[in-house]
Amino acid sequence: MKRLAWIQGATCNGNAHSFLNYPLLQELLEALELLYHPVLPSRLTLPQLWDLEELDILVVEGGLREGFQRAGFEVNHLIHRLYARANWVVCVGSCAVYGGLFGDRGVAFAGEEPTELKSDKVINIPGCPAHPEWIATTLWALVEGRPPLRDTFLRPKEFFAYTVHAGCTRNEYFEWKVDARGFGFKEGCLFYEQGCQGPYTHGSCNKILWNQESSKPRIGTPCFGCTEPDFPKENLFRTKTYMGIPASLPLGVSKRAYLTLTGVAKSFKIQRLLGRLFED
Amino acid sequence: MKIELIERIEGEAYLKWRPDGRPFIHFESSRGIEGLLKGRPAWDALVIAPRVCGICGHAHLAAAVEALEEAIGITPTPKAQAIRQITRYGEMVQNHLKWFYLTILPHFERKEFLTIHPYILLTTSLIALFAGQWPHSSYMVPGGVTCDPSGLDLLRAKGYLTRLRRGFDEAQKALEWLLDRLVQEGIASLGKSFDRFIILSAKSKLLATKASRIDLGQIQLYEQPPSRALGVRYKGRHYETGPLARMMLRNHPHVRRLHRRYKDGLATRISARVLEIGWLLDRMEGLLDGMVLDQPSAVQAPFQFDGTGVGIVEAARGSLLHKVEVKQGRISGYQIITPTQWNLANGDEEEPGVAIEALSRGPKELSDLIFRSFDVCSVCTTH
Amino acid sequence: MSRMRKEERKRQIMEMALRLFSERGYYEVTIADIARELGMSVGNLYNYFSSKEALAKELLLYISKILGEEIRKINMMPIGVEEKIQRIVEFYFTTVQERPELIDYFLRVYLAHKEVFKNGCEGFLCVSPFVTELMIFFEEGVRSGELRDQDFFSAFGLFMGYLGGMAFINGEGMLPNELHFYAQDVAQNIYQALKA
Repeated sequence: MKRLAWIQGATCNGNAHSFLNYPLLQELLEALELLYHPVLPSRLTLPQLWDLEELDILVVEGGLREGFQRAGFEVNHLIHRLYARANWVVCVGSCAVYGGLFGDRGVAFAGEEPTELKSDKVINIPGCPAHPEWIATTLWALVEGRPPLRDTFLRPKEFFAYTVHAGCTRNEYFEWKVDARGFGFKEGCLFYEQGCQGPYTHGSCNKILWNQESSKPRIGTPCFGCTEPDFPKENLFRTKTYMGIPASLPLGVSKRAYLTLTGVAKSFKIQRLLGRLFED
Repeated sequence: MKIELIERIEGEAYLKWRPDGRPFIHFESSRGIEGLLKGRPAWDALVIAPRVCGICGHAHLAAAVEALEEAIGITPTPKAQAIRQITRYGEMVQNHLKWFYLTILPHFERKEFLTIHPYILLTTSLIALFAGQWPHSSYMVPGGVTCDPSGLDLLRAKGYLTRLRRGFDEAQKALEWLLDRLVQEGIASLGKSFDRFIILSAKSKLLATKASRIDLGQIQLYEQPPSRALGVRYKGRHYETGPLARMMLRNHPHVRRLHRRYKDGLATRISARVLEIGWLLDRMEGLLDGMVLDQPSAVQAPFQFDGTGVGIVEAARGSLLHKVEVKQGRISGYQIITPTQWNLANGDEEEPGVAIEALSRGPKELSDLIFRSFDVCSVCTTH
Repeated sequence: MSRMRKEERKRQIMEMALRLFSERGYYEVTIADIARELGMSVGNLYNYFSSKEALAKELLLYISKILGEEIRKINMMPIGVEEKIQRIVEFYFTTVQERPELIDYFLRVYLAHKEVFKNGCEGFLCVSPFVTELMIFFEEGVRSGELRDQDFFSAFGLFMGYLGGMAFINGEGMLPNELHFYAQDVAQNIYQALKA
């Protein structure tokens, strides 16, 4: 059985609780030997981790922050120590991956810059928090000895080759450039006014739903780009525009291509998309 | 001085025992989230503030949005208020279940978290129906909520609630077993403190069962070095906040009965937290039934404004207060007072804090259980 | 006929139609007139364009592409907004003088006979190559901090309404000086109105 320890830097515990939302938690826990988890019952105490000689999987949640103490250790030291002794290091949440809201840096990256700990044994699962399926499926993959294919930020491609936009129930409104009229409507796209970063944010929130149920954009909340190195940017509920043109465009789409298509799409007023969905 | 590390309380805390038998509760780190909020556009508080805590972020969202609404001078629609309450109550339900099954029952060798796990999933699905996801949604915005639920969504939510009642039945059975055990072991009335409660959202305090109004201006935060957490008191005295305080104020018959016998001891404090699940489920159902869907989900609110506002909500662990100061659309000041800052305040010799008092009365062998009966949250206490 | 020849023939038809429509007006010119001027049969011309309306719409796209391509070149230049405005104005005035039919078609056919274009040229459909380049010009100007942020159309209307107006009064013979005499002032006025 793979031995796993889950340790925390500067964090809110959001990833620890997100992980608890994994439906097959029982089965996964049966396939692992849980040495330490900040919420779940596990064999060791935090001080005992210091002397842990070897482990298969180190999960890091939270950012690395100069001087941040936990159980009498400087967390950075504990992370470095266990990093060296682990076969795999899975960073969960944007703080552990890039530094995020609370860290000076993440494990293998500080923002977009690689750190001295960037290596092949790191798997990054950003998000604020990381999605339970992303975390759990990655752990399964390591249990099975089949580490996932990763991108340049060491993120599993299966979750991060998509944008959050993919699978959004508001896609038709995006295609035909119909803005949401404000907050609180099931109709309309949130990209033009409400700040939605879905079209240029890596993640599969609209492919693998949250809590088996939904996602932020589906219920009218913009995507805040929480899986990206620059999370959290400013003005998260408003689209930054220059003369009405979104400052950030869908991933990989040139300005000329975007504007051409937008102009064309806007020229047609699709009546079906302009009204309310359930009105008589 | 004996030092005890308490783990898995949404972080860690130290109990440092002084020679006089009184402990000092010590937190070693803080993230300084209030500082991160300063200078940002006001609405960004809705994304940053919930990151205080991974288990009660939704309550932080609610407090933040209410503070912003007061600063703007805007009131959300009744529909939006009802939806907010439903998801907030849902968050409390999952919290209480986790606390009971992960920190209390294992103390008595009952390690059965996985039997209650499906109900926790169900609770978060119910929240996500309206909030998109849990943890860390930001679906409450000044003026209302971003979601626009349909009639069928409400029915789906009711289905989840019906199933959740079975989870509550399970928890109640475990609670009955636990109460017997506490009585058998003769520890049901241990963990008593001042029998003094505060419920900020109701602007009320209770001395045992006698309620009176409070003045929010009399809340005092204070430093307690070397701990990185602040303590809080009202007019110089410490009060317990949380489910026990609320259930006492609500005159919940079962909790009142236990209180008559055990006062604010372990049996009553633990029971109040578990029994509140039932109270919450009843309220959630009432809110779903009474919701008028054709009201707007939100009244549109400005991004640019000046003002100050306070938001007070009941979080899982008690009263939560956010205070915001906005100048030209940006946050110039932000203050968060969390429930555990009330319960875990150290105080001093004349006026010790609530948990300090309970721990001082001992016995020391049970300090871990007594401490955890307050449902300690390290990240909230330090934020 | 080779593909190249066919494309060339099509271009010739469009150039001729452009001239005739601009000179005489859309309703005064028939397909037969265009064919006659080109020395080709009416039947043959219909091989290229199914109707006069179809030809009119394609002409609009044709002009948009020509104008858009020139603005695109200016957009790509490593120069500031003020100079770009100067170049766009000069390019526009040069076009008015050297290829007046391009501008006249826009002002006297497209804007005057919207009924011809209502199906198939709604909104930006036939002017997209031109409008897109101006969008990019404005977007980059705001992004670099040189232009004031505002809605695209308030800026677009000021820019194109002004240039179109100058072209119009020039065409009416009302200008005491040659069009280029005004280029620098016009460019300055636009810049002053839009700058950050």
